[in-house]
Amino acid sequence: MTDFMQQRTLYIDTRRCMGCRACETVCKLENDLPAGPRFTMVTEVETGEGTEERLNFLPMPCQHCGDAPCVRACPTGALFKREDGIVLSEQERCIGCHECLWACPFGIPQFGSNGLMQKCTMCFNRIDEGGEPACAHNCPAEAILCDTVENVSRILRERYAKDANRMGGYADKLD
Amino acid sequence: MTERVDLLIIGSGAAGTSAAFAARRADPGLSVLIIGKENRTEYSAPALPDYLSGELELDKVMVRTKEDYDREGIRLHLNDTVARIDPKKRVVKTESGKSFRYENLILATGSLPIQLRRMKGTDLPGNFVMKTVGDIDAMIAYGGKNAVVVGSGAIGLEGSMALKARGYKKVTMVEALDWLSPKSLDKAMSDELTANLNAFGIEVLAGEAVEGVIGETKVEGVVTSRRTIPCDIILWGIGMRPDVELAKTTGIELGELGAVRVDDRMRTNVPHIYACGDCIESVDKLSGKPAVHLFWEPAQRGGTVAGLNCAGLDKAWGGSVAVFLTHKGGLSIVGFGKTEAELDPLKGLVLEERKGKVYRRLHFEDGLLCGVQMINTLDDVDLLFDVITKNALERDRKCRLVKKPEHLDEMTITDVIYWLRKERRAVIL
Amino acid sequence: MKLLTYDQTRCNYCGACQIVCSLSKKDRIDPGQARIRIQTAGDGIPLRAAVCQHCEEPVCVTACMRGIIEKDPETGVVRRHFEDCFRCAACHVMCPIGAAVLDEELKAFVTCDLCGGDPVCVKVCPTGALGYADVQESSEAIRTRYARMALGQPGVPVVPGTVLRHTPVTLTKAEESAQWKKISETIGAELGKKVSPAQLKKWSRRIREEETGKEDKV
Repeated sequence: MTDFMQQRTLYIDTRRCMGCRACETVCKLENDLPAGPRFTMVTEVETGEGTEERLNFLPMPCQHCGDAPCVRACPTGALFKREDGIVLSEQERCIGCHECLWACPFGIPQFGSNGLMQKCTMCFNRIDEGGEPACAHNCPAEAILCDTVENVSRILRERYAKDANRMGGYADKLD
Repeated sequence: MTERVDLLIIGSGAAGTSAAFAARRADPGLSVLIIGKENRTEYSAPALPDYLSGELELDKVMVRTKEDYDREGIRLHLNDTVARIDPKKRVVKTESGKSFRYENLILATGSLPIQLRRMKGTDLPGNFVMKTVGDIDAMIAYGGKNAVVVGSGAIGLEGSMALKARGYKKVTMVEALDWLSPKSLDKAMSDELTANLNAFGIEVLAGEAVEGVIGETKVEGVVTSRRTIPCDIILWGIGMRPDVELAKTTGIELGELGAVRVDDRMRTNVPHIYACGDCIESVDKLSGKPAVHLFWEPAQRGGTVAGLNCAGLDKAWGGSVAVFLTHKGGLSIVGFGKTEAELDPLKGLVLEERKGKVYRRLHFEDGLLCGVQMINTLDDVDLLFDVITKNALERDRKCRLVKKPEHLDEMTITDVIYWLRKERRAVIL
Repeated sequence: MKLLTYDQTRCNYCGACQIVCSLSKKDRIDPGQARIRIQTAGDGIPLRAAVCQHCEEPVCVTACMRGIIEKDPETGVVRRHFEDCFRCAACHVMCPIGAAVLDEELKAFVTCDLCGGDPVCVKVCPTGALGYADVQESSEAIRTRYARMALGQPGVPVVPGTVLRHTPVTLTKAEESAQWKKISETIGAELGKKVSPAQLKKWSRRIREEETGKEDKV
């Protein structure tokens, strides 16, 4: 198994996300989804009061967990984790038993019209061709990063270093 | 006059019937016809021992009635066998002279009991097999007081219990190999099984081969390598072999084990001809090797896959797992995966536990569960079955699906089961 | 389709679901024979619910040696003609969930039939761990719940790990009494049967003790 730092991850920078839902839209287009399932889903949450009041957004694709509970729970072995870290499901082995949904702390697995499990695949076919997931590619705020854990960590630190001053007092709220 | 059929199925057992129903449901416009050797709709072969014992009436052995087929629009042509298949013209000719032209053909010819025809006396009245309803009817009609059952597989085991339940005064099971079902059970488990069978009143003789059948006009006894056993009937349960005669004459390729070779979509080498059920060579999911698995579940599932694929879908077969399972008459015994004899001696580990009538064994290789045997309990077998299947997938994947416990040799079977349960729900610490 | 949903983070392992399921189906309390069984690792911490998931491609349907299990094409419910079961146990061995139970009275392997669309276990579950909802909606609901916790929605506790990890809740004597009183009333209303809160509490203790092998001092 590849060293964890080299595993691919899909990181959402919630400080940049403005809830435009471009990721949701292109994700549905990319995966040819009908009404209903959303492989990435943006949840809107209101926090704060008065001048502190704000809208927050959390897009949730699959976390492609390092030690994926869905892979553990899947009784047929349909769910597995690729060498590069992407968690995928072999449709041929999936029997639609929903164990992955009950195991996933985030509620990522969904069940399509054929009753079998479907979820964010990190657009692995785009990645295999040298590209990036549709959501990351189309996010206007560049809030979605798809890279190795090591690279994502580096990019975020670089962003902090470069952006902290320009965003004014916002940097103080980062913890 | 040659009748045209979209999907022609040869065989009216579990595989053939599953194929028919799956195909029709997937594509109600498909014309489906089943040609069956017996003059019966689908029945449950695994239920035959209960039919023999008297526990079940015939109607409880049947899986489908004529109405079920009619409702689904599946046509039946029973009591006839196929004489010839012309794969180029896609025409099938039966013994009675009927002709059918097919779009797609599914071969589900099943299996036949192995019989020692060259052994003297095996053609006398009183020799029986347990393959069809007709076999059971004949056995019941024949009657008798003392029975010898040859073999200790599913037929031997359940057959001997059924005969005892039926009221045979003396039932003796004779097994040629060193202990009972050595391909599925280790000696310790076989000993436990023997004790259970003895408690039922069945005498068990292992390490004794049948060498001859004695009798003038009918069976009077069996001669083994050690003794002569007087008996009225002999139930031969020495195995089944895939029925591939029709496949051979049609030029359908057989696998290395002598059964019909199919790909993962149940296709044979001949275009438009699929095969499923007991007649095919499967892939053992656990070992990855070719295997002949003569069980109900692979037949139903394989039939379903073949039927769906003939209806235009693209389903995968995925192979099968051999499960030794008997649960009747107060006895339950289950075994799958590697026996201890099959374990790598350097990497293998056996955990066993006895509690009253319950005896359990778990076999590990390199820390991964690879074999299970249990008698008089079925607790948690479902979990262990899943784990073994997942462990086998390691072969095809580069990632670990199930972790290895540390200090396995210090764990009890209960510890292992709790550990495996925890593994399914990783987030709990 | 609508299914029984189990939120492991809310389950307190009280056993009410098992008590009520057996009572409803068998006319007597026998938690081991319930069609829903909460599994632990022998330590009293609930891990998952072993209850029929009405899979899309049910293994039991093909494993059944009498062909008496079928998935309703409209409702999606996997049901059995258990009166024809001859107890081959294939469904029990092969079910990936561990959902099949050998019912002693029916002499058949049985599974959860969702009480025909009105599951009684959901009605008695004191913590809301059990639900009955559409599987797609459940998926969205869990995601929404997580997002709210992660983003800090007012009123949603941000105790680290509450969404991800089960924290067993110990009830006070008063809380526990109130809990069983309410369940007793629900049983009376839904099943028309009288089971006292004290009896329920005893059964709950028995379930815990059998699973953990230890005396339950609660």
